[in-house]
Amino acid sequence: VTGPEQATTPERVTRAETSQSILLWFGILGGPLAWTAEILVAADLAEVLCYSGAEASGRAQIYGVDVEVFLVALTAVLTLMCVAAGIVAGRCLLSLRAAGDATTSRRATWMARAGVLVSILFGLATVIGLIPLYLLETCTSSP
Amino acid sequence: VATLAERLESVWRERPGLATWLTTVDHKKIGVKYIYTSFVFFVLGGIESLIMRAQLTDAGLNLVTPEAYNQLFSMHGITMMFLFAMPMFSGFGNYFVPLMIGTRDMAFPRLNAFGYWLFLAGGIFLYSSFLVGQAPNDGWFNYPPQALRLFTPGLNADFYSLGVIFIGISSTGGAINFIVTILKMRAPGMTLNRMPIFVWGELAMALQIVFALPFLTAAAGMLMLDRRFGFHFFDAADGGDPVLWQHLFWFFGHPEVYIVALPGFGIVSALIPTLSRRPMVGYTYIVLAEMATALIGFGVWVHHMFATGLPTLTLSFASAASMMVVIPTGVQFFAWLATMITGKLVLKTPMLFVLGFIVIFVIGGLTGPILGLVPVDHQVHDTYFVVAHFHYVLVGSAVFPMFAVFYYWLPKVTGRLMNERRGKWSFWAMFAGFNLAFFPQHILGLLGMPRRIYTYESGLGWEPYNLVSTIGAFIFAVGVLITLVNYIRSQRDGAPAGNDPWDGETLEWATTSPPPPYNFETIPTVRSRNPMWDQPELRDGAQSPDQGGHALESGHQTLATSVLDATPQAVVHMPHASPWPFALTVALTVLFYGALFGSWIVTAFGALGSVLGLMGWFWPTGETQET
Repeated sequence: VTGPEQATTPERVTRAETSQSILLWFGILGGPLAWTAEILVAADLAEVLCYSGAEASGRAQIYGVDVEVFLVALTAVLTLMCVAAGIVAGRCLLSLRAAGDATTSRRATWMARAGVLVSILFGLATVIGLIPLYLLETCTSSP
Repeated sequence: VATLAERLESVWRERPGLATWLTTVDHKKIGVKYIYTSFVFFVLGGIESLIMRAQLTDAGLNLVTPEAYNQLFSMHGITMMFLFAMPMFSGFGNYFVPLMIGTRDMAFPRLNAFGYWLFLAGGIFLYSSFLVGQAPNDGWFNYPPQALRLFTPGLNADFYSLGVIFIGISSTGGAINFIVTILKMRAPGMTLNRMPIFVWGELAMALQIVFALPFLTAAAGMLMLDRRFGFHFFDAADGGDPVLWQHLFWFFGHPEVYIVALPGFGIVSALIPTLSRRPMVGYTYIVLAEMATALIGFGVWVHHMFATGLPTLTLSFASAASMMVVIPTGVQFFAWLATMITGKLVLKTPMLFVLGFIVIFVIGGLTGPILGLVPVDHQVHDTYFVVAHFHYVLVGSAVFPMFAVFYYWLPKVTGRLMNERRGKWSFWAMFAGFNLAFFPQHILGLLGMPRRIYTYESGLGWEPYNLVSTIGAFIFAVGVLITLVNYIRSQRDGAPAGNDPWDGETLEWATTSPPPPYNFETIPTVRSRNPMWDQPELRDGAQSPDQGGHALESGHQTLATSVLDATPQAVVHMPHASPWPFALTVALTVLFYGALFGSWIVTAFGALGSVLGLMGWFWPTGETQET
């Protein structure tokens, strides 16, 4: 039986392992966080600005910048974040393939692969946000 | 000399009797209580729906009054979402997650017991509204301004607000418990990429509850302030905004759909490999799809608000996100189909319910993107088309997988298999009844029949579809009844299940049916994603120490492991049975009834009892916990 004394022996985590872990988590969470930011900021910003008197002027602005321009810039930045997360996850995947077949390596490889897939999905979701910006008037209310 | 099993039995066994029933912290007993209680609420919600269907069978019927009808459809929705679907999955999770991850209990056993008692008390609280004839009557969404005191002067909306807060405490506590259990209590070697997909589904559900439910709790609290203390959060006449309620409610309400669906998907992913006799195709894709759906589910709440006059840009973001959900959902379906096509199907009752789920959910899934399109939604908003859609989605994703589980997993709980012939009768009655009941409602919606009306005039062409729908609802109820009878009779004459009647792949099949109080003689070390198929030593009873088994026989103990790789980190001493979760629930119930009836003396009495209950709960008892 593995005794409690063995079970409670703390593991030593190296700096390289810590940085790899951070990269893996960025690869997995970067895309979803970017998309979440777009949904929460862009969509709600349009709603809030359009309610606060912008309808009268026909144009909503943030610090003098048209809301459409702001939203396009925001979406572009967030799309780049997805791309960066995908690249980081991909690089982790390539480096881990050479790391052998240990249980930890297989788990890390799995996370890296997940990061690539998730970044593609949420990158697509984020960039789709540009389409309505081109097609629709920001402050037009639905009937 | 006592054997290991006898020594563990002496440490973990709880004395049978009423006192144990009230004080147990055993995850299996709590799980069974959740399952039984939520099934009772399922029957109650079903009876409400049958009364509504009887009322709508023909034009101009007067079986119930309009006010009673409002209460029936409101309580039907509240029951099915808060008192049946969520707690039923909590019940399955309570029972099977610790078994599937190879541990001896949930991370916080007393919080677990507290969650169950709160759920039961919350359910009784909500249903006690019928005793005073003032059940919630503004729908399960309880929209202001209808729910404000001006339009609902009785206690109806107060029962709703306090009831959802009550149940919200239970669900949130339970969700936190699931997250910690899944991330910190897995058997050694069960790395994230070896975790059973059902456990991923429960994790996704728990994360969604933790992030979504506070919005409903906040909204219900604000509504109470509006109704009782003259606040104006939702009162447009005094500067409030009823649309704010819709944002808060649906930021909870749409993730709630996935809170119900994702564990259902997890169940399907647990059953299909075993009943197809091969490992799941695309494990990684399914896990990612579950987690991605859980997240995307938070971005689509506005699609419930397409008709509120929001800016079109806001609507378009929600519409795009709604389309996005199709991708991860589709990935799961193709993975399931690929597993079944390349495997060897075992067409027993659980598999029939899985196949029924696939057919029904695909139909519901197809009408989802249709409703996600703003112009179409405007056409069919608040019609029976929407009712048909969400019943296909929710009954497909929750009820059919649950019935699959009754036949697949309850033998592990009871030690008895259920009868196959009765199971198949039940399936076909439910499948045929469901489609008869709800498919015509698509047509009714397109013909313009609005939701939430207690009757309608003749001559609109709605009568035949309503008649078929009502017949289907009663056939569905017969199917449910057959399974209930099957379960009861299986206790008497069911064939013994043995440890593993299905040749399953996950750890719950490594122990006896029913499992002993300590679950496993030794906590196993896992070396595969399908441990029961790849580690033959697990079929021969306890995994011996030289094969990696951990006995932990010196106390009421289990292992805590690391989040990613499940390496052992600590021996955790688990608490014994306790009366405090039940006592605290009683005190909170007094508090909530006091608040409901505006008796501040009773409320203060309940608050004092709650403080005393918490003091008793946390009073040092000499039980230690190593970390």
